[in-house]
Amino acid sequence: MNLAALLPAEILAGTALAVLLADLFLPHRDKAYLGLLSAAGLAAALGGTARQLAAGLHASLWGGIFLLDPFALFFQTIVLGAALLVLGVSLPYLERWGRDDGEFYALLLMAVLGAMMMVASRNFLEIYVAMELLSVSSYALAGFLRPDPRSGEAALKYYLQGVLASAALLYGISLLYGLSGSLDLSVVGARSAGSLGVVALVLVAGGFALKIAAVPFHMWAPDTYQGAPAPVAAFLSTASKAAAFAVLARVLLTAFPAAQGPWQELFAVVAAASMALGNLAALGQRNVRRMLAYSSIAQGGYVLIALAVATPTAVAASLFYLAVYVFMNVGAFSVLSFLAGPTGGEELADLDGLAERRPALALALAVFLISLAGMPLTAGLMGKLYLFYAAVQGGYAWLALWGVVFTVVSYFYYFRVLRHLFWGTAPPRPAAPAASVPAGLALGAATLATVLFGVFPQPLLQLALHSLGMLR
Amino acid sequence: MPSLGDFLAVGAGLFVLGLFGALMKRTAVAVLMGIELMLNAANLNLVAFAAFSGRISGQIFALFVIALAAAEVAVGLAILLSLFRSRATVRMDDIDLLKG
Repeated sequence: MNLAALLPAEILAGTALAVLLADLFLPHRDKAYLGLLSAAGLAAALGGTARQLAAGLHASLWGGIFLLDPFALFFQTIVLGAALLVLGVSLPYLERWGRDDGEFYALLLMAVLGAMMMVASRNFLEIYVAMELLSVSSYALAGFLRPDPRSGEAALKYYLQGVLASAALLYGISLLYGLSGSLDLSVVGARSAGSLGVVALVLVAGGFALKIAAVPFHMWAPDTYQGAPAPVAAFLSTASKAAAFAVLARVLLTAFPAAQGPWQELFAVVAAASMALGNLAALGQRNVRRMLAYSSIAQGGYVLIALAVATPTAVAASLFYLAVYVFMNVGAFSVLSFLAGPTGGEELADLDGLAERRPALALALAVFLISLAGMPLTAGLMGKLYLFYAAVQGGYAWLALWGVVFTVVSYFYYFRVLRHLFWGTAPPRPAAPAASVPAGLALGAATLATVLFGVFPQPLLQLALHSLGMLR
Repeated sequence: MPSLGDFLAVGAGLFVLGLFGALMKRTAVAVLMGIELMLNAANLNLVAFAAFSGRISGQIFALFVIALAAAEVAVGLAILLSLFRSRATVRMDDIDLLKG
């Protein structure tokens, strides 16, 4: 029973090990098969998880260490979907950099496995171990383009801040363990009242906030998203962020409902600060990838509104928002990954006249940016509407107003990119490499989903509400 | 026989010392050493709580942390080494290619 329920995770682990092993024996010209094998493993895991979600699985495994409920399955589906898109875009990207060996795929699969286990954990030991699996793989992925010192710098900055946050998280966990005598989420909160409990909770929340890149733990994000390989930046800004949000929500909502008042106030401030800093700092960026990094800090702020409001409607809205955010953000980073080469190519000026050179890429990027900005007929708008509506309903009207104001601010930088895309005069430059089939598929799927969930948001919202039903 | 409070005081001291080192040191290796102190502060807490409450889970947790910290440091030093090869420095102030 336990092993059968965890089949998707087992497939993933098996594929990762198989890829590592096969990497040793395959001649270099055949390395592309490793990417396809990884894609097959991810797709199988995604299919299995989606089936469990559709069947409404609710299973407590190994004495409650894991809880596979619709909430966990929803986030596992998000993470796996994001990883599949990222993998599709990675194939041509790595080939262009001459780094298309099996390690990348194995690391990516390990990171996904960590994220999957993390969202299903109900025990601090398991949360910590799974999060370390995600983190350590992510550090290595961020530094994967070894010839490029920017990639190494991105990895080092992420690594040092990540390890610092995880040490603080661990210290917080040790205090909670001392207060409650248990590592089980359902027991810890009830026995951790008092000021020491609050300190511990803040330390723990800080560890997860770093992965979400929420202010004041956002410092690594711009450097890392700019310097890491573009597909890795896409992964960190979506799958890793979503998984950390899921764990944070589960810890707060299942373990600490009693301390709800204080942490609600805390996250209201964090969400407001993230929206303000992310959107304002993005205004001044000339490098598009760095701009997207600040934009993703701001997007994290919108999602954190849900933890400030902490009503079921709000949390369901954040699930919806994260699901559609995966498509638009992976998509935006992916388009950039096609354009950039070893010499850069991600400045605003490099996008001039892209609509003439590569109309399909320009159109896709435009869709993603319009959706991130939250214009009508895109999934981004629906997500923001649900979140802001839930905030007003939950008595946080000022937070919704704050969000609307900074959404308007964000129009300036998103539309500045569009101006370069469609109205910039294209200087003569070497043609960008043609997109490959898997990358085209990934980009097409992301574009389609962004539009589709904008026009028909209801089924996804229903799924999010349903996933939430059994959280508490 | 030292009391639980003594262990916790040492742990808190280690944590603050490590945090101070991690935030103030200017070379990446020294930052790493500070972070290791923080991890060990948590370990000391876990083991002390486990010993004084008679529950074993804290000691098991500490074993996991030791193994994970080793894995983490291995990756960190690999990153540092590859960066050192291209930039010939581990001083944080010199690692400044990425900025807005």
